[in-house]
Amino acid sequence: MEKETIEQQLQKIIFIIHQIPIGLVETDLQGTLKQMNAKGVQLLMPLFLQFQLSGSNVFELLEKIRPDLLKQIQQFQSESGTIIQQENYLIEFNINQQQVNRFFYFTINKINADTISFVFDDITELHEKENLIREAMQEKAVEQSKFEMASGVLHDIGNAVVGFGSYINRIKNHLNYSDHKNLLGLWGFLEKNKQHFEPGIGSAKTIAMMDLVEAIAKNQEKNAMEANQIISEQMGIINHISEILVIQRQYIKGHSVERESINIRSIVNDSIAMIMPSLVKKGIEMVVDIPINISQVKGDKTRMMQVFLNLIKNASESIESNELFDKKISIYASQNTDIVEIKLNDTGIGFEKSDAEQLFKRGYTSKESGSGIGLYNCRSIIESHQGTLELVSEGSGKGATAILTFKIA
Amino acid sequence: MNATFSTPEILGWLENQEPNQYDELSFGIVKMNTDGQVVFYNKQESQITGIDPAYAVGKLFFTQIAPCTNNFMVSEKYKQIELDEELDYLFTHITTPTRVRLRLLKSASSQHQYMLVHKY
Repeated sequence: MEKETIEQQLQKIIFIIHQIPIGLVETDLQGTLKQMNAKGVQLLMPLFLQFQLSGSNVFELLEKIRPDLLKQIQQFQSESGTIIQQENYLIEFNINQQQVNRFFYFTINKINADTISFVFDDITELHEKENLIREAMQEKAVEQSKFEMASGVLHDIGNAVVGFGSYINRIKNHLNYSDHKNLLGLWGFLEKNKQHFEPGIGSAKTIAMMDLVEAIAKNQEKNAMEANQIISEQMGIINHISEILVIQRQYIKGHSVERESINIRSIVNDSIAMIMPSLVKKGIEMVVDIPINISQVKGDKTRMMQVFLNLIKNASESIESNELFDKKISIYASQNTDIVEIKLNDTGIGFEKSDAEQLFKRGYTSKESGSGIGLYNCRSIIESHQGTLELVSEGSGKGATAILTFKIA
Repeated sequence: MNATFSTPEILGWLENQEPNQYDELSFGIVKMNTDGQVVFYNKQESQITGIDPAYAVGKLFFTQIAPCTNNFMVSEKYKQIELDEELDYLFTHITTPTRVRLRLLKSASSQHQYMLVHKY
């Protein structure tokens, strides 16, 4: 192959410059057009047309669209150098009586004493995209700070509620050691030693004294019972507030927590460990059979634990209400190619088949002190993990089984 | 018929010419199919732009041959079904600005569209 001459190489370079998709223009120091490539024409012609200019002088155009830019060029004193380095400018004009805003970037260089080069492009689309991204990021930041604030407030309320609860508990404990028992003791002592008091203060006064002590003791007892009842009600309200807080906090967490691969076996074991003391106390037997090699699922460990804790708690409460000798909760897991299934079975009171869906309704409860958000919340959590949660029962008094499925991670 | 740049009804005349007759005209002419692919690029047009007709034929006019026309003033106009419009424009002979008058032509009945170019 013949070697290209310098002339041929230059021709090729000029052709490439001509076709390059960025506007390139060369002018003299008065702005008269000397050279320009195709993209330059494509971008500038509509502007020349708009301002009814001949299209032979770039300064004439700048005077119309960006006088500030022209001023910078004219004030540039050095013999050569960069006048404008890649800066964005808004250019406003009309097409068919419609106001058009375009963003152009310009790089303007003084090449030598009588040559200026313009490099420019219409970056409106890019500019708009950048704006959208910036707005989206701002929105996200605002959302995030809202959640952080809400989370902080919930946390503080949560702490306050816990403190309040323990304070009320202390009052309750104090009431158990109320003086009415001592007063009854005193009455018993007076009764026993009546014959020793009567010679001293007389029979009538002794009886009056004993009656008074008895009346005070009974009054004390009545007050203590009332206070106890009020405190129990207060505890119920606090528990309800706590449950709502837990749900709200999960909701907030859901916005920031990333899903990790989690091991169902360890989640179940951790949940049981947490609740075991109360199960032992109630005499409930716990049977767990989850294969050691069970596949991992994607999810939020804390929320998943809340589901299992809630289900086990429900099962134990249901067992307590069912006066059977057999008190047992069993948890089994199995899996096929893409799904892990967990069954949590109890020997509790169960439910009628027709009530199955009712159980998941928000606000539904069968317990005296329940708020009706436990199961509703459990199902929301599981569904947010692309899983399912169902409850089945053979009927009232025949126990119940919670069936959970998860997609394998 | 001795067609000039501004001859009315020139479209019908252009449709019936043998390609080599385009070279006899006094103005530049680009014949394209309706996708903008160059079918004929006459001698006068080549003298205005410096582009070899052999290079131009078969290429897309608005993007590969004359990207300077790829805007609403020129290429967008060809999206119309019927078109006969004149306008002043700027071409480049390689990179030297060249003032021209364009006549944009298109009809619903033809498989071709044309651009006539008169150099001032």
